[in-house]
Amino acid sequence: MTGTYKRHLLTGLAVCALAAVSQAQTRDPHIGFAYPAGGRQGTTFTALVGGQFLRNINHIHVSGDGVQATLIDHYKINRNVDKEQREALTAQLQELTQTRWAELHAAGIVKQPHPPWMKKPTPNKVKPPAKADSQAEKKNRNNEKAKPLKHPLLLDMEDKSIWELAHVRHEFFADRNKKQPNAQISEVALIKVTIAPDAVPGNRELRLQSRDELTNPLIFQVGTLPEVSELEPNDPEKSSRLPDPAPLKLPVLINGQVYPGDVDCFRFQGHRGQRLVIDVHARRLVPFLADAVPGWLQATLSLCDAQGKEIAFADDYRFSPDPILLYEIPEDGYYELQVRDSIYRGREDFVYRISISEQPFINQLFPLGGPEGTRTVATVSGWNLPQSDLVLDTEPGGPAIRQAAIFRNGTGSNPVAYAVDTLPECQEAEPNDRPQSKPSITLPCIVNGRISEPGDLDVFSFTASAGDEIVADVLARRLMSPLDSLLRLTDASGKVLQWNDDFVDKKGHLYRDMGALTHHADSHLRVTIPETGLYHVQISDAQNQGGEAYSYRLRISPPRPDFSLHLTPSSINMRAGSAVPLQVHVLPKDGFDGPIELRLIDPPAGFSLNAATIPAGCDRMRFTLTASEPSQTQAILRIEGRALIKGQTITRQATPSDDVMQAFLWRHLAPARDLMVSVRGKGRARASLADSGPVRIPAGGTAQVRVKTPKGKWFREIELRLNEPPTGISLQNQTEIPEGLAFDLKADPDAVQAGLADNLIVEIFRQVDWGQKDAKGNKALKTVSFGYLPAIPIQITTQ
Amino acid sequence: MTLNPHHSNPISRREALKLGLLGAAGLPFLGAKPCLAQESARPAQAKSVIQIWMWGGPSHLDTFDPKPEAGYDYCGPLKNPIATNVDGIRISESLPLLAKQADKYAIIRSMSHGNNGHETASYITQTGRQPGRLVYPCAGAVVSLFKGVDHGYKGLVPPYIVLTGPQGRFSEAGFLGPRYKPFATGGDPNRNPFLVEGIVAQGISDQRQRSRRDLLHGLDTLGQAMPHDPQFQFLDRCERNAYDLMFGDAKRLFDLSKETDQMRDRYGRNTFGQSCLMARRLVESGVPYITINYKGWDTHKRHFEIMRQKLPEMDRAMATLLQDLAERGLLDSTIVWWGGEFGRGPKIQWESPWNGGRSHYGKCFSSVVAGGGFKGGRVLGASDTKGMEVAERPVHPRELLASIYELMGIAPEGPMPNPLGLDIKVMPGNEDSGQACGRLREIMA
Repeated sequence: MTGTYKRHLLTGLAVCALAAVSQAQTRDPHIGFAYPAGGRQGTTFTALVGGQFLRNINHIHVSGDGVQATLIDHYKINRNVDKEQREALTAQLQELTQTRWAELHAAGIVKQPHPPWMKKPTPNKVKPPAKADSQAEKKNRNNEKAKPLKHPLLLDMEDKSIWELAHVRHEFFADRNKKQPNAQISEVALIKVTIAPDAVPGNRELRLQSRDELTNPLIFQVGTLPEVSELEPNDPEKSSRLPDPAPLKLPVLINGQVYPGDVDCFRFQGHRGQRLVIDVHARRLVPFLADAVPGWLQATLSLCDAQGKEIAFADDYRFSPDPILLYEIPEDGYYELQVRDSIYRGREDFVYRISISEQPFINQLFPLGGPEGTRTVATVSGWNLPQSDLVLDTEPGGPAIRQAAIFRNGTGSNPVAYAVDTLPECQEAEPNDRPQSKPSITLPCIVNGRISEPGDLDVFSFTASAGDEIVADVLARRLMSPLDSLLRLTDASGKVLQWNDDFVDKKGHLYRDMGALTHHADSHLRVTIPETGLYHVQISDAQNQGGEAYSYRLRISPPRPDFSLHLTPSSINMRAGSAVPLQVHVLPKDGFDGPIELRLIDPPAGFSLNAATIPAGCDRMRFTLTASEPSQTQAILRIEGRALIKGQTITRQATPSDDVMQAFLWRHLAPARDLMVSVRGKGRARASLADSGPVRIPAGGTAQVRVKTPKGKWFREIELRLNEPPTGISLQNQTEIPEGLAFDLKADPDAVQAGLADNLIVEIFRQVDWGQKDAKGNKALKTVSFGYLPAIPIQITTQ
Repeated sequence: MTLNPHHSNPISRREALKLGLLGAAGLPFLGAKPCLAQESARPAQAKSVIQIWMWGGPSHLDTFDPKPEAGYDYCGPLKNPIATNVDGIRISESLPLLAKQADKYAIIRSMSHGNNGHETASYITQTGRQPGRLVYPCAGAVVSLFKGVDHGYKGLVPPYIVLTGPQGRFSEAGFLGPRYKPFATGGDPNRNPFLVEGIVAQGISDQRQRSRRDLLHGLDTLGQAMPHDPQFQFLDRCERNAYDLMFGDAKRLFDLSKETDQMRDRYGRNTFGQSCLMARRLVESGVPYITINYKGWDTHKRHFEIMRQKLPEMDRAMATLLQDLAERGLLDSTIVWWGGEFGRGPKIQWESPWNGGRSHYGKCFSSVVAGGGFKGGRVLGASDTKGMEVAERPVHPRELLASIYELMGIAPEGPMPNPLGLDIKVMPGNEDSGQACGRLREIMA
């Protein structure tokens, strides 16, 4: 590092405490998989976390209580094993395999005293002195020369079983190994995880922190079942030279990874009458992959009997790509479970967890919710259920969508979703498959119903007055109902006023509805009633399916304007004293289009939001978070939005989320549990806007922005650029002023319209001498980003 | 999306013979309709098309539309475009040989269809149509229909040849059916011998092949017992055609060892280079449409590493092809069309998992045309300062295709035979505005 560079950099950091981020933005640490992607309560185990830029991990975060994790080591996985390394590892594996085999022989598990495919050791025979440069000697010399392989699988080799040794051999030497390098998961952190016995089961979020920068979150599960991890080779056609490993004891949870062409097989002892729930978590662990089609591990499950005959198969569960098999064991014996990707793809982040147990499993719930504060008992049916009803928690104050489960002998069922609302509710009464001549419901109302058989049609009749606005909204798929609803609104004569199949909130390639759903099957209508009279809402299944599980909640009411907020990203890395941009997505409901004020909820000292008012009608906005002498270097922040709706202040907490890509094209807002921030340094904010309130720019004109900065050369040498500005807005005429800096914002009249309100993000750049010279021998200066100014609200006005 | 999976594979030599592609069978539904399109066509300026299909979508910024002023996040390391032999036209620094041939080609920098999916974009780019109820034929099949065996083509090989692998994204022939599918050679022209599917076989001598034929005839007792059966006569005729291909001039046509080493070296000793040389030989023999499916341009990851490997290979082969065609007096009658289904995202994706890749980009991209009536040394249209948007003269693929058809003597406004008997033009106008399909007059002689 040259003195010039050091001086400039130190000056910059000391004076303004802004971080050089040009490379950091693209070199942020990130993670793509954890393997195993969870563990059992009360256990300590190691796990691999694959990602990129993980060299300097200094902390591991697991959300919630009861799970601790520490780093053991970091590995850059290198697939190139040279000849010396190969020979050394082969020799070690051979020696250890012979030792383990002898132990199996002593225990009476194998008959032969030595592995039959290996040359017998001859310890009693005196070896003739090796000739100079004999093959054996060469080999030994090579082994000594071999640079040790660094790989997490090679730890504790002495303690590995014979099957684990075979797994190591397979990992390094299998000729079918078609693994392809993927830079984004080419590094691996080996971590030690301890889960407390009383840790609450379910999904957690795992984040690594490298150089004080947080990775994205990954799902990490806390379970209750005994767990095992797969050991290759375990393909069905593999004729292993090793004795079969002991069959799995049920219940069990199997962790595995699917590689190209891979089929993983697991043998277990089944007993007649066992009602097994075989549940694969794969897509639910890594919901979206950017660089794979369709964008996740599409697992298939095949159950075979002792003769190898397939007796059950599943490649999904209803609309979920993760398969679930419900199977009653017909007779005692061995059974084999096979799992693979449906089109035989695979790589490290194709991770799965399969539970095989007699856990309770709910496959239908009715009704799918109830009125807030009213005792609601739902009927349930499924598999291994100790009861047929379930009391739903409808206590006021909770979330609108909640989860419930049934427990049997301390083991919980799959969680089921239901909704709680404040409107009056009723249940459909069959027969109702044709319009009535008089009202069957009174608005507003939530109808709990089900499309009970293929072809079923439920019709609800109501009266409305001319000019009334009516919303009909189905809540079914979002509560995991298999119903793919289709809504029609007709008048008394049968004329269809409006119909809807799927209601999708999509901007470009971004699906803004939260979650992992890719088929937004719930329907939604909004109409203005043309004349007073009787109207009918018809609901059916768009795929002409039906059954006990095809439940729905149908709200028919005047519009209830509301909104939800989603904030990206869910992991924020920043330097104290600087601002960092965040993006908020507004999902308006029932026509809401008012302004929303964002605020931090009980923030730690030093954190604040800038330009945090979302203008009316805006569905997406960037703003900034500033940390000025923050009291904490890591914090979980909560942000809420407030809006005035029909005279009442409505507050909604923003859901942290990540904008993730599916299969090269589509993007989704994947929800996270926490909004975590990591702050480097302790500095206070130095750059601030001199004037409060929005900057008003005439369409076709300019407006000046003044920025207060400390005096000194460092700030005089910065260059300000707009970061992803709205079309037609540009920055020009950056000048020095007594307070610091000023610049003009220009609005191109052909590209912007009066009335536009938005925020501008301004990025700070500076040229840095990196001690390099160009071809002509001149200093090669590099333009580096040093962070952002607080967001600047703007309004475009008429000329 | 595979638009028509049943027709997704190109026809093999054996299938081609069975279907009478070489002159044995009649038209299934077309009747004399192809002639109608011909009647209203302008005189052909071009006799052949060599389509260099940049499979996966090449980056327009890193080839024919460089934007060094856009900065590192758009240009990456390819930030020093070079001048060409035409004043005012600059192209990527990785294409120095093509820079010396710029007077021979026109660059269209304002191609746009807005679709970012491989399958749909491939379909739009090669058929000029949006996906819909009918699966339309691509340009090669259209040329085969109007300039192939139905219109006097008597070449040694089928009129629509693909070097070397099939398209696979959609059915090239569309509703025209298997008769107009391309003949995909398979094999690798950079290998010696170039193993052409069904024509040149590895390790089987001509003598051994003839012995096999004799053995087959010996076993064909049913055929011998019924020598006058029309079905057997048809099969015999197909077989004779097949063996003519295998032992006759066609085999010599595919034999690149007939070229000098110097010429082979000029094109580059790689699959693409030798495919270009093979394409020139096919043009010389009168084949009206040759597609070179040039794979490897779907560079989501390792984009610049791949560019460093592939652009010099493309540069050498394509520049030599243009020069060679010109030297032989063939460029005036041969259209060379370079392009893929879309361009690539101007803004480099430095972030994970791409780590320096470029995405699909159908909003604005480039195509290049040369010869056969297209003027060289021209640039048509322009993109904006970062290559994100079309700034001037937007060009939809249908305009490019219509221009190619017109230069080939196929009237774009003429009727297109179809199985439903619908009144369909060879190339429609703007489906939204209803305007007639334009031509690229600015670059047409």
